Amino acid sequence: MHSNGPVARLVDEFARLPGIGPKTAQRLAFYILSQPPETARRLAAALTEARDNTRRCSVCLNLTDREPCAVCADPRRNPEMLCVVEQPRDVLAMEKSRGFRGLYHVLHGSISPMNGIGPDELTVRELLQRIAGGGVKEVILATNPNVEGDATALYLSKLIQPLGVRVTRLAHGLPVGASLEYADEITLSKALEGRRELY
Amino acid sequence: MKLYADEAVVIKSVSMREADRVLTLYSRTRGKFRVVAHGVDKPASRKRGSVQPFTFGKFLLRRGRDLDSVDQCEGVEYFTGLRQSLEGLSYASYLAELVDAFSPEGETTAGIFELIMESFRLLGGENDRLLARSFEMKLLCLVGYRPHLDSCTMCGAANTPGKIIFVPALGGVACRDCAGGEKSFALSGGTLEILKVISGWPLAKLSRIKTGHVREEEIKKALRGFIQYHLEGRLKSIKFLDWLDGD
Ligand SMILES: [Zn+2]
Ligand SMILES: [Zn+2]
Repeated sequence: MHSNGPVARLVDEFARLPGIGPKTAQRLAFYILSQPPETARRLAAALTEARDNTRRCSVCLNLTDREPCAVCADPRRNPEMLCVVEQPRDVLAMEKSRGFRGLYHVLHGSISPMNGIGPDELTVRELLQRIAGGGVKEVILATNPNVEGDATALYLSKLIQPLGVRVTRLAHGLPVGASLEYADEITLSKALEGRRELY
Repeated sequence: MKLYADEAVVIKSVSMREADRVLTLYSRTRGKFRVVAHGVDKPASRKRGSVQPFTFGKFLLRRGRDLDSVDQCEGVEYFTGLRQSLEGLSYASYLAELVDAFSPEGETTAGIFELIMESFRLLGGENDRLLARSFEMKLLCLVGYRPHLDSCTMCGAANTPGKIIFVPALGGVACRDCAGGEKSFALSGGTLEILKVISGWPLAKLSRIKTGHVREEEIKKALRGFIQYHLEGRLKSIKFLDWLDGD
C-alpha cells in the first residue's frame, strides 16, 4: 500500500477524528472498502448533507438545521429559564433527561485559565445580550464540574448576578448507582453543598 | 517492581485519545514527572476526581515503556479554597505553569513541592496577587535564578534611591550607566524593599504587607520581564491573568 494513495488518505482522515487512533482508523477504512460502493456513497452524502445544512441557531447558538432551532421555536418551553451549557452535546444530554423545560444557551467552549482561553472565545456577549433583552428570570449554569467548567461558571455568575437575574449552578454530586464509600472527597463535599430538603 | 507508590500534586492535565489524560505531577521525591491516566474521562471512572488539576493525592503507578500509568489514585487534598474564585483558579493555573516551565522532568529541587502545596492552600483569599509575586521570587531563588537586589550587579555600587532599575539580562538591579541598552524596569525605593521581603517571608504572612497598586504593578512588570527573559516562549496562563487584571 502506498503511503500517499487513496486508502492511506482515507485512514488519515479517520485518524483526525476525536477519539480515533491509527488502528481504529485503519479498521474503519478497510471496513468501508470491504462493503459495496453504496455504503461509502451513503456515508459521504450523509456527511456533506449534515455539514451543509447545519448552522448555529441565532437565539441559543446550538447547532440546528432550521432557524430558530426546534427548542427555541417550541412555544411550550419556558423562556424565563435559561440553561447555559458548554457544548451542543450537553443540550442533547439535558434533553434526554426530559427534566428541563426552559431554553438553552450554548457557549461553544469553556474558559481555560491554563490555556489562555478567555470569555472572548465563547458566546458570552450573545448570552448577555439575550439576558439584557429581558424575560429571563433564572440562569442555570450547567458547565462541567472541572477546572474549566468551574472557571466559566464563576465568571458568568459574576457577570450576570448584577443584572438582577437569579443565577444557579447544577448540583454536582454522587452519580446514580454509585456507592458512598467509593466517592472521593470533592464529590462528597459538592454533594453535601447541593443537598436538599426531603418532603 | 512494576508498581510503585508516590504522593504528588497534579499541576497539569491534558486530554488525549479515547478517554485518557496525560498528567503532569509534582512530588517531593521525584520532582516533576508525567504519567498517563487511562479512561479518566469516562463518566464511570473512579479516578476522575483525584486526577483533576490542583489536587494532591496518593498514586499507585505502573511502570510503562514510554510513560508510567496510574493504576490507582486517591485524592488527599483538593484545595477547595482556590476553586471558589476565578482569581484562585487563574493564579493556580499560572503558578502550576511556572513550575512546569522551570522544572526539568525527573529532577527534584528542594522546596518546590512545599511551595506549591502552601500556595495552593492559600490561594482564593484576598492576597492572590501578592502571593503570586512572592511565589515567583521564591521559585526563582529555588531554581537558581535569584535576582540580585542589594547593589548594582555590574559595578557593585550601592542602590541610589529613586534611580533603581531592574535589568533581567543582568540578573538584577543595576545603575543606569551599567544597564546600557538592555531592557529595564524602574523600581521605586519602597518597591525594592517589598521585593526583598516577599522573597523571604512565609506566604501566610504576606497579608501584613501593604503594597498599593503602583508598587504591585512595578513588581509584576519587573518579575515578568525577568521570568520571560529566562523562559523561552510565552506562558499561556498570563493572557488570562492580564485580562482579569484589566490590562
Ligand atoms: Zn435555538
Ligand atoms: Zn553599576
